[in-house]
Amino acid sequence: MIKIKDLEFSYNGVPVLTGITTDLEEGKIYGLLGENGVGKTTLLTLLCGLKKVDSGLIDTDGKDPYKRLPETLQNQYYIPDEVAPVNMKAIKYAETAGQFWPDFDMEKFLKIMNIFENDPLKNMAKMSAGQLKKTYISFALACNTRYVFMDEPTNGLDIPSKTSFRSIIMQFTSENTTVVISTHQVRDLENIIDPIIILDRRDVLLNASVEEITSKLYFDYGNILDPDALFCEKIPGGYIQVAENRTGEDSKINVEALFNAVHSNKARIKEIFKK
Amino acid sequence: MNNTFDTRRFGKYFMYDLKNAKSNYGLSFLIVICMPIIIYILSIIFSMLFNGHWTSPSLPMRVSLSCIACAIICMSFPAQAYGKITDKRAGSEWLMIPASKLEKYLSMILISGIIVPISFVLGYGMVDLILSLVDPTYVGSLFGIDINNWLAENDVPLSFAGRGYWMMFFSISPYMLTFLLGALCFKTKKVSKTILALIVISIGLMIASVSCHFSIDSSFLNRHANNLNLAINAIMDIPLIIEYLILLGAIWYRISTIKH
Repeated sequence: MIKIKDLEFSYNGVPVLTGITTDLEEGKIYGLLGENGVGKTTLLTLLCGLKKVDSGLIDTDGKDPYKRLPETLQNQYYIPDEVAPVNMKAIKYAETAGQFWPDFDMEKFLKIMNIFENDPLKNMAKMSAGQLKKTYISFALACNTRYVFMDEPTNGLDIPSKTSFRSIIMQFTSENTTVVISTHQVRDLENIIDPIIILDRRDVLLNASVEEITSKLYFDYGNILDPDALFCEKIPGGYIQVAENRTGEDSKINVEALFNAVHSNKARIKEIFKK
Repeated sequence: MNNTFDTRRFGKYFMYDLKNAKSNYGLSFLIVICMPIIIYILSIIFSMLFNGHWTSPSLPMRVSLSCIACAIICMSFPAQAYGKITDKRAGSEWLMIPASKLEKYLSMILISGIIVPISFVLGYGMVDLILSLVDPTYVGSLFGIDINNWLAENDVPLSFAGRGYWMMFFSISPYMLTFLLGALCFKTKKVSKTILALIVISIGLMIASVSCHFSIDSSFLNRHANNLNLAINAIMDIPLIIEYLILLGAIWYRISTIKH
């Protein structure tokens, strides 16, 4: 489990994250959403120990990730937004780097590469950005770590690969693995992320499971305008509206609408989710 | 689990690091140690063209060339092998590989400060030796040079053990570590900024030594007249040891505080 308490971080005195407190539980696939510049990537790099917190605490299974102890590192994998090519065949890379993660599974790596239709015998330096990303995603999941941090994993992936990505995440992450995916491409990941974290510069606006969200908010896809809706957007054939769920009726979540509703009603949403 | 140092994990990491260094710098290293062949061929071509004689490069020219090759290795290897550690666009793999900071540090120091300098001296010397065996006009080999003879010829009352070969190692290793530190400290233009920093530090040290009226105490040499060789060695070795300690400490500090 990862505990974040009163986390503060700034770049050259300019605050990026202030007073962030939240917990990341085991076995869940977190979607980390937020506007540009709110510090999603910064939070991910802090979680995996690539940066040091200014104040506050990040506790990964009782350890400070910034110490970058082998014990912590072998339980996590981080895929940045832009991945670097390595002058090596993908399979050779997996073989040499994989030996450092005790649960690395080469068979799993090859299986995922196969689903992505990615050639493991191709030199990584000659791969396209999308192919390279798919190689790193395959490697990250084959490491069988407890924590996987992904920054915009679907950026650069073609449409079939995005579909494959969703099925791979569902199929190849174990019950104990916590995946944190930072993304703007909410539609790519809509059906797999649960819980959803919406980050603001000064706060975690929302950290709730899909079940909790749909129990407290109602997503209406009809064509009658609700004057009490927290968010409303015209779509072909009607509207998509987000309103407080007063009847307990079930609805299908729309992450984009949820994000907009949260951002335009920060205080109200906090109040609804505090109940 | 030992989070500071584990021999098995270190062995694994060291081999991985060595493979990476080979993949990042292997070809450049091969080209540099083959410089005697390149110069030999050029020398033959030009001498045949202009003099009509088969003339191999002279020993003094080859010594100068070996110094240039040495400088190329010292400047380029650390930046090419480890420079990307500070560049987050090149990935965070080095920081995220599950090995301890100490293991990564030791591997880096062993490769840059010992393995590459020794491989360079041996590799370059072997290529030169092979040429001297193949072509009789290629007089002498770099391995045959005795620094002590040269010192005696120039009336320097000093002699080094092992014909002074270790001096070659100690003239490469600290420079390699200096450029390694530069590669870890500067994010861009690593080599030129390190050279600039070296120039600034040298000027600073010169000014400091002049303003402090620093000179070797002649009474120290007089007191050790019976063991002059040892005394001069001490005068040479102490700054070298201090330099090593500063470099090793600074590299450790830098890799402990790298953030992406």
